[in-house]
Amino acid sequence: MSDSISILFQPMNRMVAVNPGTVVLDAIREAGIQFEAICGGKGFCGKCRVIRVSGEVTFEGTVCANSLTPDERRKGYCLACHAKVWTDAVFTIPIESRIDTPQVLLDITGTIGKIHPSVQKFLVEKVATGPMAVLGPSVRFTGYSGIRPVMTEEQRTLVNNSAGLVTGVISFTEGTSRLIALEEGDTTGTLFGVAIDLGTTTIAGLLTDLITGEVICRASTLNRQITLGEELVTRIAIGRREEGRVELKAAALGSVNEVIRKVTRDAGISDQDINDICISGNTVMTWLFAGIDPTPLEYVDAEISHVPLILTAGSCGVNAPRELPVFCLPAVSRFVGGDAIANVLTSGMHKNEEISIIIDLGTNGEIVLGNRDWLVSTSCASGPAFEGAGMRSGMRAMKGAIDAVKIDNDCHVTVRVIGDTKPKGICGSGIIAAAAAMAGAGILDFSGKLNDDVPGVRYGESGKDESELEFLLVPSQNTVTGKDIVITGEDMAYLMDSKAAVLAAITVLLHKFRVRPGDIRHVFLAGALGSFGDIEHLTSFGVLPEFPRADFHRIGNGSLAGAYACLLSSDARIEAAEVAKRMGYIDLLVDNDFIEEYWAALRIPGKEELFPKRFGTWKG
Amino acid sequence: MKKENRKSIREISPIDVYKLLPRTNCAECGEPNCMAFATKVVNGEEVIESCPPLLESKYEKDLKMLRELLAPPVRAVSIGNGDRRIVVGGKHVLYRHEFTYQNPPPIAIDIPDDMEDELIAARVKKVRDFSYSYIGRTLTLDALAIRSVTQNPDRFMEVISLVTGLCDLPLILCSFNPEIIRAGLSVCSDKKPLIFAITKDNWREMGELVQDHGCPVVVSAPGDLNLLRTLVKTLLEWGIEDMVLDPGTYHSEQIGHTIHQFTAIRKAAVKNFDSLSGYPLLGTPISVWNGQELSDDINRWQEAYLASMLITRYADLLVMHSLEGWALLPQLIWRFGIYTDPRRPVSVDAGVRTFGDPDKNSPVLVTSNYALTFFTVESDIKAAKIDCYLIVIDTGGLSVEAAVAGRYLTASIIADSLKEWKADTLVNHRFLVIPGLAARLSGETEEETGWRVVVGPRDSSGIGQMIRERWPPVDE
Repeated sequence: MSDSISILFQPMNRMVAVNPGTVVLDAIREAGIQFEAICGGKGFCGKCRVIRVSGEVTFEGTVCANSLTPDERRKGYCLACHAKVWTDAVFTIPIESRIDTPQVLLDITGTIGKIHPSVQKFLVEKVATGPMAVLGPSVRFTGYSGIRPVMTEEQRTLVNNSAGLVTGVISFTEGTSRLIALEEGDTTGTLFGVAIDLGTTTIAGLLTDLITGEVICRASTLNRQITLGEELVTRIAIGRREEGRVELKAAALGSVNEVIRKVTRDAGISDQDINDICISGNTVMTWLFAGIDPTPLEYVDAEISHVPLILTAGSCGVNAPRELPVFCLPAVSRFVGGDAIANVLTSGMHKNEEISIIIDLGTNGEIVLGNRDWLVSTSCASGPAFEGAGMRSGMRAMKGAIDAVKIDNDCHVTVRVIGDTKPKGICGSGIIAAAAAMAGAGILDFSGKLNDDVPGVRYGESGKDESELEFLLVPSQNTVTGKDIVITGEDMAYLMDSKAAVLAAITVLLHKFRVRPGDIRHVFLAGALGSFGDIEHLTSFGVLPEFPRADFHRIGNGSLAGAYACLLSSDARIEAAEVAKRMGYIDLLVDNDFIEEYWAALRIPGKEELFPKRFGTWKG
Repeated sequence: MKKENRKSIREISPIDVYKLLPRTNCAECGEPNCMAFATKVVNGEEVIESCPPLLESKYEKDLKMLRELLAPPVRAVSIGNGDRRIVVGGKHVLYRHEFTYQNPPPIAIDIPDDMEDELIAARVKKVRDFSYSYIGRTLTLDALAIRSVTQNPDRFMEVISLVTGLCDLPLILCSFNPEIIRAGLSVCSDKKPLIFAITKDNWREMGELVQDHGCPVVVSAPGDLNLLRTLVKTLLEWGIEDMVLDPGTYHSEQIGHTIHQFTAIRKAAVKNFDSLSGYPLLGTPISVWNGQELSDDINRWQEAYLASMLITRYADLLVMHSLEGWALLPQLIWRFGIYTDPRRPVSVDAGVRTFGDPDKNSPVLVTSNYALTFFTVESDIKAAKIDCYLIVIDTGGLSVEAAVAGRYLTASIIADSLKEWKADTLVNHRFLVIPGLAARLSGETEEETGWRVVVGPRDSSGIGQMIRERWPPVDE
């Protein structure tokens, strides 16, 4: 009996049936549409804009007044998180709220040494003769001389009842050997592994041939947890309740299985052909994936186990043989997790006697410093500006995002757009480029404030506050949305905040261990901004200090590369556990030095001693 | 360790310590791994002896090297034993802001043995019971300096016994005559008193005595730095290590010279790692009483400001005579102030602040006692011109967000604060406004306090608007 109403979402032409009084954001999630809801539906971010075409809608709270201009509201714009729908309705999801073809990181650099995976295949032999034959046929594996693998009754029955050749897949994870699958025929010539980077925003994966080490194919998808909450803190809050945990786990699992589906389909195999899986993610992501209550992670004194989590495919719901052990890279602290360890493995810094630093700038920033003798780390909240969130014209790195900006002496702006289309907004690397260019052209003063006597800087014409300064990057006639793309004073305040946090975090870590930037010989950049951000801009704007003696390396998706390394080499897993165990961690939240360095970093580029070449004090 | 290899505490890296640890990552010290322990050691939050594996014989060499690495350039000398034991010296830096000052200089009050027994008893009790409450701490006096004025060993012993019968404060036994000190030690050697003093005239006999009893000793060479160094060198060769230096405390026109001497010795120790200077400094403002001044009040005054100056400039132990509150209290408070750790965030006093003219229906807000938080909130409330009460909670000087994460601000702590400051007598309603950044505490806080929680804005700039729009809250 239907009390329910139908909502149609255009232009994706998706319809969903819900109860009257449903919040529109929930209806969108129900419909499975990928949608911008950065604050998780609390009314803070103003990004969940939809256009009501028809249907009766009521609004909660006064949030709409702040995020939409009167003109927009006349046209039917509202915020999905605060709109409740009561009758059949039609909504258009405008372009700026849609998420399509994001620019994700599928590069892997770094080489693996000897290939020595944790899983192997052997032909199964049924031996019907011999002294024990009276008890029934015993199972042996051709060419295998190790400890008898653990087998289930079901597996034994399958073997006994099989007519032709059967191949056993034996896993050596966790120090014991276990039979994880039986494959029909002689499949000893193939061995497949899937590596997953369980990112906060994006989940990337690859399928590899574990005999040759070759990467067969790759895929990625957005982490569906985004619609529940963009920031880790939001997700931890949701995860404190059991229902929330179930939702979050299902969302991540859905995205992981989607990646598995894509790579197996592209390679022409079934998900039951997968023989090993490694997952790399930060601590929160890994815990949520495993269904562990993340509440302890809210506290500074949380005790985090450094032992790698090993789940079975069956218990976590991954589409692969049920008994397959899923190896999750170990964590160091609540904010430095398996992905940071993976970065270390990829960089090789833990085997090098020269001092290196890894800087991973994404949703959060993780920094690892050290060499083969000692390793230390810290983390800081580097987002949201680096991801494009919280900026007036900000967006994720995807088609339509400005990712490079040049400003000449007359303040004329040239932009480069991902996908070479008309711009829709500006992404993290574009924002850094713009800030560096604006600082260079005198549009910004030393503290990152807009100078109002410079061409291109005007008082707010694009909405909210008419007394607010903004700098025009691209006029409306040249954009996809038909609106000016600007950088506002408030945007710059956010950006300075993010930049100061990262620079201060790096400075404090160096300072605490009495290491000077000049002592560092290798800088590894990871994460979205690390892979595409221009190093010169990052330095001239002051996100990074100068490293005058260092070679820079971009390690791309170090998290995925580290998971890949752990697939190919069981030694890498031991290294990962050992690195996690001995790595020190500095928590900046309760650190006095950080507060001081942060204040000092609220200028472009920052303290003189961190930029000796810029200030002419470098003595070579 | 060679002088060239000595590093100041500011230069010692946790890595230097880490490399000398067993690196088992066994976590027996209570830290997650060896790197975390090394970091705490360099911060002064842990001592190297807290690592059980390190104390095993196979790590003897590493332990020795660690002790040398971490040894402060000014030796730490222990006086007395039991609960009232004091440690003098143990300094790492010249300027407080370079690290922090450790081991605040104890203040010893003199007991001359030519005083009558009842007067001595009264004086001892006054020192023993002196106590002043200051920002949640209790400030006290620390030791007694028993002076042989009569030059009579028996009398000396009597007075010492009288004193030790009344209190367990650490003692300084004052005489240049080894016989008298010998007598004194015969009744209190187990209390590890500080012996005043070895001079160029008595060093052999006094030195032997001190060694026999294992007591710390003052090396006194007033006005002669070279002599002081020679004496220290000689005693070191004898194997005496627990020394305190007395370069002489002069007042009036010679105050500048005194301060200069103290500074020179301290600098030589800390900056140049001069081993002969690396000992705690004894300041004796009591010496003003040996001068020509007849007026007691003027003497007290001179003694008082001389003591303050010496606390500022490198005295690790003080002997004073005056027992007047006005003379002693400033020393205790000043000492307390400069020995607070500058690395801890600045905080304000906890308690209730009143804004405007609140009545029984006005809002009650809470916040942390981090100075920056408090002043920002205070300024926002004033700008919004709201009448309200603000309860400042002691969160150890951390901001709201840090305090919540670090468990310095919890529902229980809020409940305790409401009780302590009698919030239920301030207003008739039971609505409590908590900072937006502490939102996650709202449920538990309601349970623990019995008040209804209203979650305020995440930024205090929104307080004005919030109160205007949502106060008083509508009861459901």
